[in-house]
Amino acid sequence: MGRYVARRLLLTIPVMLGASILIFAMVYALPGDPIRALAGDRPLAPAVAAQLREEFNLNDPLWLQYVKYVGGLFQGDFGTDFAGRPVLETILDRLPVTAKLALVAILFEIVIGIVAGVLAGIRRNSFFDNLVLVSTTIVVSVPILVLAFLAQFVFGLKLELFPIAGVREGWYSYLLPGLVLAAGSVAYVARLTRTSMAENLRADYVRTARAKGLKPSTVVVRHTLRNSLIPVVTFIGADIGTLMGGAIVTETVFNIPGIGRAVFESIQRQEGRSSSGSSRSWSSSSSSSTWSSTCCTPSSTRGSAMTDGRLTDVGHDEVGAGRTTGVADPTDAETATVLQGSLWSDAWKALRKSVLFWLGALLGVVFILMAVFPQLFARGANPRDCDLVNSSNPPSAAHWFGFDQQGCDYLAQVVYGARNSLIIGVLAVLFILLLGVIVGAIAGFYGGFTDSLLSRLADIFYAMPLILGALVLLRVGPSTDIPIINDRGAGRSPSRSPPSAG
Amino acid sequence: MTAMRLVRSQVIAVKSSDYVAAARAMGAGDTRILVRHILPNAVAPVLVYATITVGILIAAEATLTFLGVGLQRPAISWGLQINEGQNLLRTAPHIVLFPSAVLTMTVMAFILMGDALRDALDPRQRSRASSPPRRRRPGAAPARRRCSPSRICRWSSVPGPAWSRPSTGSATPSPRGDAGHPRRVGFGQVRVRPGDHGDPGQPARRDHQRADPVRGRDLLTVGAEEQRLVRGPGISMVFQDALSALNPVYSVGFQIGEMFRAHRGLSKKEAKQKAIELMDRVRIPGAAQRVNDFPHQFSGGMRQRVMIAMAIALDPKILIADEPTTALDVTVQAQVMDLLKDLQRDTGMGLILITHDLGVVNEVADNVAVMYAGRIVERGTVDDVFSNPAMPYTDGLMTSIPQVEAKGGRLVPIAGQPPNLARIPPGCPFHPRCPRRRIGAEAPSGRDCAVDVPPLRLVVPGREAACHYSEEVLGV
Repeated sequence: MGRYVARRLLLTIPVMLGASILIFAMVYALPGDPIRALAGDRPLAPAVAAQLREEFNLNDPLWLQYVKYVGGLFQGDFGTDFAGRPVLETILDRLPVTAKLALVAILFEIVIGIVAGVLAGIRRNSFFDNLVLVSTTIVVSVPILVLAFLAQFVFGLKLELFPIAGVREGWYSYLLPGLVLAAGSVAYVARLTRTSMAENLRADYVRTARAKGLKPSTVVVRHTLRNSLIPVVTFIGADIGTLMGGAIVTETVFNIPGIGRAVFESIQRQEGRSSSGSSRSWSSSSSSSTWSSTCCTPSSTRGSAMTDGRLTDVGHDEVGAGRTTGVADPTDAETATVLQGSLWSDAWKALRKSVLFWLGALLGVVFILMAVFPQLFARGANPRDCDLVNSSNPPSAAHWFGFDQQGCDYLAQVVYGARNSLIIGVLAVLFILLLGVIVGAIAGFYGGFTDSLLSRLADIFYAMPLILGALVLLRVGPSTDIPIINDRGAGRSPSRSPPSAG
Repeated sequence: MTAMRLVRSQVIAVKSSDYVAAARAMGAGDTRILVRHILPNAVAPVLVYATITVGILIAAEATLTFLGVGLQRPAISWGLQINEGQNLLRTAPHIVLFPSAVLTMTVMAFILMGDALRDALDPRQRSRASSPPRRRRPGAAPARRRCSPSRICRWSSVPGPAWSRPSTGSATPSPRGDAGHPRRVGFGQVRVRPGDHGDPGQPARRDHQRADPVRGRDLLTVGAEEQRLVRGPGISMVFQDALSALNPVYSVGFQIGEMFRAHRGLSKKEAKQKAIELMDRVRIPGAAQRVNDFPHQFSGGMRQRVMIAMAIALDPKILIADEPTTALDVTVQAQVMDLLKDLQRDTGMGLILITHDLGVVNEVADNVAVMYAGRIVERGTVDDVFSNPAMPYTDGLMTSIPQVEAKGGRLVPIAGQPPNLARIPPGCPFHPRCPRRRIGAEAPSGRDCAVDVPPLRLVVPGREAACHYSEEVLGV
């Protein structure tokens, strides 16, 4: 066992190196001159600029810069950002807060997720089981962004049970953001535990345990739970990466001064093109992202390696946006060969009877219609037809969704928003599928070295935080109004055209 | 890159299958094999993944846009709208709430569809998706144990409160509710009971796992806790496939010792000592060294011995051995049977042997009970039953034994197929296959094989059979 772990950890070293090279290259290949940006509007004396360049090794070729950077890391020198503040200091400053938040989230996962999963797994098809199934489906479907605002609105603003934002001494102020951060994972853990329990309860050795006349509690805890927790523990280990991604959103919404918030701040500052902002944000976001990805790589790659060959292990490193629900089933050959011919008609028969499917299909059709024919839903309003007089007016009979800050009809705004979502969602998935199918087929078919190489490359992409990829691609892209969304690959979508008036 | 992993694992799973080899043998090139024969297998999981991912990416887009790294103004996006409203939560909550609600519903749409697709496409999940929730039981999962004419069905049941009770299928009432059928459902099986425990006059539906041999009470009527206390010291069981019947994460010593800890309250150390003694007793070489080994470190025969050691730990009154020698090779089979025989002789416990091997029955057993479609159809001493069956099914079994003298001749099988346990034929369950059946006008009233269920009755002294015409079969 120890040897296995050691081997897996060794295998992650090239992945970590690869990820850090990729991130380093992307960040430092960004257009623009950080030194000039540092100086702001005032002209910089050439001598000073040259000195700064020397100081930050900017004159060296990229690979040498990288080597020096990594060399520094190994000596405990994380470098300073361009504003002169040691990056390590920033990280150490912010780290305890994020760590505390992540700890609270993991505790939620363990306590709520496992307990709910065990109870549901033991009493399958009971009321409680169905409750867990339905509620996890809902929780998984709610983006963490929405969940954060919802929690803030309900528990902070309306019920005033928790502080709305910020952190205080002690743990209490971490509870609400921690729960928000953990929500998706809690649901996933609950489902995983449930499936795993239900499967193991059917195992022959559990039958043996009963035949031995053991107490029901012993049978469940000693002979079922322990075996069932193996995939759950793997998931929770791998989930630390996801939590780091989710922390960016959660810390931003709840205004928590952690590493996630730091990343967001640097992005925002870059947006404002304030004097030294961009350069500082580059270095700090690069260092903190490198750090977070590096620290999460062992766990996430280990997790992914262990979940290799499972039907679903989506959700690693997403910005906590949502997750696949349900079972992580090993796709064994049995299933694979059954998936033929009559499968589709059988599947359709099963689908036809599924209420949840029809509910999903109905919502999906509405969404697609909204994206394709927004005029039908906007009740004749034009999203560009705004009047500041109406700024932020609440919903009324004439304007169902009220107005936004600029005084635009909000129903029209929301309806027209569907189009970009659809385009980006579908295009990105097509891109991912194209890439994934080709690479996956080649890796699986040829095996051996090709397989190892491609799989490790995939691990590198796994280790890279989604947000950094998005940020970098956005900057590198031809112009800012062609946004690029990245999910371990990249999808591009034109968004320049505001929807024409309908 | 999840898509990549998904496709990769599917390709690996199918790559070595026979039909790919067949395609290769026919001269198909790599590309053709990959595209035509392998990738179609990946379509289903990839479709599920894609559906769900659309939802996830829509959420990701909104999140990134909210953070300022996605779409920029003047584009219209839910993420931008939520971003704009985040500071207005107090004064104008609708600015955050409406796009949030629409975003959530959109994401939910794709995740619900993906979930439903997964359930529908995964054969093992299908029963869940299609059958009404109340009726389904995990034990009835279709892929678990298939009945086929070639494989004789066997459901074993160890009752317990939270135990998922196996049933014959979701369409019938639980076999327990059906007074005519015992809960141990099995057919084509010979039940062998050497020793003379239990009451020969008991009705057939007595469940032997719950029949307390000592006090002669009906264990079906006592509480769960009392039943539990019988398991182990009263009745214990040796299961068929020892590898899956032993818990992979505990050492065999721990699992044997558990009997003493649960029922006798021994300490961990004492229990281990007992485990070593028991392993010696079932003739596992080097017991003291192997006590801390895990089940997978043992060979098949040794594993079965571990199973047996566990079962005899508390000197049970009855030991049920459920096909203890399947999956073992012939020499090891003989060793295991010898061991069971010796243990039975030494301890005087009752041994119920469930087997298809009529040779083993003849050799080991004193009494035999033949079961068909979940009922005992004949009972008597081995000599009587084997030499002169009183039930056409037993007769059929005997004639279908391969005979050394008749080498080269054809086997005489029993006509027809084993019945679907979810739809056991009315009347005598064997009548559709019975050469001696009498139906309708042929039959005397009350003895119509297709209508009247034959009770298990005393035919001649010491012989019971469930057939209307046993006397004819016997020729008395």
